[in-house]
Amino acid sequence: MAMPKFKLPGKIRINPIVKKDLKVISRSMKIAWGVFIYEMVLALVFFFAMYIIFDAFSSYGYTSDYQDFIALFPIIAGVEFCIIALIMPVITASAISGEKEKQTFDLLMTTVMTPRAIVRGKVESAVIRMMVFIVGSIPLMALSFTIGGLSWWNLFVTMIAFLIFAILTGSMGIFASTLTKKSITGIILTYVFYFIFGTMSVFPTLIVVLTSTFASGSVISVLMLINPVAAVIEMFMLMLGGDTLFSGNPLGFWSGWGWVVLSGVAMLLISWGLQRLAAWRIDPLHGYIIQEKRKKKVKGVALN
Amino acid sequence: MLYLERLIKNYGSFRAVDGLSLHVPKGDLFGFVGPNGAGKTTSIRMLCGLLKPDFGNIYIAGYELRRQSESVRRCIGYVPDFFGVYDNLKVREYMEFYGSIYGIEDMDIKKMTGDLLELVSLSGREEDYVDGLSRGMKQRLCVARALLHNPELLVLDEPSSGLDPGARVEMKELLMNLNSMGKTIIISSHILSDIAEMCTSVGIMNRGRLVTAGKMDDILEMGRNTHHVIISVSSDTQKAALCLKELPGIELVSLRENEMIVNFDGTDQELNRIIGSLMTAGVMVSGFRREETNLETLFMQLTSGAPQPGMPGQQPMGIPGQQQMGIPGQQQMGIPMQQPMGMPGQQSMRMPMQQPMGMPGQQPMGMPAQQPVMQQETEMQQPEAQQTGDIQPEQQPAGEEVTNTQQGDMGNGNAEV
Repeated sequence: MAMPKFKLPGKIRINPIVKKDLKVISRSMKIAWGVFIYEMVLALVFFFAMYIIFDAFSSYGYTSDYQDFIALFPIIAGVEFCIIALIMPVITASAISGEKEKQTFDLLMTTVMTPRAIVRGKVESAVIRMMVFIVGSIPLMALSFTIGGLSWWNLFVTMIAFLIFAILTGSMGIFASTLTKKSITGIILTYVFYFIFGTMSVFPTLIVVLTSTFASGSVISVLMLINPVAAVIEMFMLMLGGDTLFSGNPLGFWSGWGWVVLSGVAMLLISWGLQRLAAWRIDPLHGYIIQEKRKKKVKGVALN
Repeated sequence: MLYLERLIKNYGSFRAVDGLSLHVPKGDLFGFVGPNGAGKTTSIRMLCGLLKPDFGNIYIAGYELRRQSESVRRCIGYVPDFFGVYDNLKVREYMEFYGSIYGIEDMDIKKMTGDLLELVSLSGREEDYVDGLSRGMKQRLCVARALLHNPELLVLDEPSSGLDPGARVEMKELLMNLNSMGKTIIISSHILSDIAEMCTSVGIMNRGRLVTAGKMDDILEMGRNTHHVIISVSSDTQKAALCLKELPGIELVSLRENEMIVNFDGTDQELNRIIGSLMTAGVMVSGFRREETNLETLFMQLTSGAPQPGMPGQQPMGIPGQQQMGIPGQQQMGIPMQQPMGMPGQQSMRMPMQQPMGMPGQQPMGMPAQQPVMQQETEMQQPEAQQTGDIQPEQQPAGEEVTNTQQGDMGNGNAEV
């Protein structure tokens, strides 16, 4: 009996840009200083929050309730989300424009690497760099888990949320980077994108609220799908128990964890779209085939 | 190896490349020369896929850039005039990075890196940081990088710019060495002596057009067929030019400050008589000499007084018949029209007006037979350029229409003047 042939899966190929970027960045002191400052900020926030929550420490008659430690979790995580939102544009908005400034972009574009692979590589390397920061904050957050009573599942979900948020902001940064020639303009443009995204979800929500109808809850939950802030709040509320943002929603799946997952998927789709747009922007031959098709079409009309 | 078919590139209303057609056969070392702004870099960027042509097609090693860009990029190694390097990256890692982009195995990259660095005289520099290398070394490293995936065509844009004489000589030797190994090389440069020394064929561009192209020997021969005499005058050159027009057997090619270049195919005694006649007419002749013909002088002749694109009554070079260069309205520079790129014994280069690519029954030389797409393409696009007006005629400057009509004729191989 012939033995079935098993073929070992091919070697996993890491995007060369990710490999190169990580190698280059790990040799500079920038990332070390970045992590140091990031941890410092988180530590300051952590101690300040401790002080607010446990101000009765100074009193001899105070009896500690470990459940209070759970309040540290949304505070630290919230600050981390803000830091990601601030840092990701700085990392990604210079990704393409930086290559252009350094005059290395043309060399990349003459290789077999597709614009999509270049953009993907840039986003991946930025997200990995961001994850270094996020992983560095786990010990602080873990206090809420070991003492406050949150589960490891909650930590895992929070990490996934950080990852999706980093991909979204990174994609925005990359897209902005393809629109500008200077890195600083790209960073500012990414912050403008935040504003546009926020407005896109909040403004229609306000209109719905003002003209409230019986189905307004469902409409709002759909509109807020692309709002990362709403997703993070909803996620924390679900973890900590109690009411959620869309708890009164009559459409079951459009609230609770189902809504959070949908929101994550929506954000990943937006990220994918932004990356496609960025790839289209940097492709020097974009429209070359379309130009030909258009000519053929025009010619067909002319001959008829 | 390389076919460019009627490439057009506009920057706004400025036409940077105007109907460039070119064929470079396999194994050639082709030099692209022209003054600043002639369209060399734009052409090179288009053929490397860094710029989208507004019109025309590019074929490299049988692949069409428009549809098979990845295959084309696999066939090209590109060395730009200015390029940056990544900080904190070693020479070995730099090569590894580009090798991994082409999907080359790590072990192969290691081996090839050693060989290539030896080829470009950078052995022992593997562990040096790239940004610490000198400009000449970086340039050679860039050539090594471009060769990593063993491309069939190497394209270099001003590789010697900014290099000291020693590095320039090294670069020249490297390119000649690569060419002797069978690589097809296209190089653009301002250093005409280098081009004349190392290139097997040359194309001269001016104002977006290919003024002439062909095998180096044939191009130089074309220059030798002219009989230029430079007459230096210390009086009014305009007056001298008028006097000259009255004299038989001599024609003015161009006027410079205190210098007239004339075409004169006669003996030294006849020339002496002409100079005497000029002096008798009151022209202060301070000297005269026969012009030596090399690529530099030919380049100056072809580019200094080239006709304005689209100027009525003038034609770009290469149209059967008489060429007109220099002052409009005068019969000038009577280079016998021997079709520089179709000379006997030289079948590889074609001028734009020659046999168009993809003409039924005539496969262009060196073109793989696997290109039915290209033939359809060409047949379809030839009349289309005029029928559909898709070249954006509204953007063309005045007089451009005449030029395009000429080009259309040229492209169909039936240029009539």
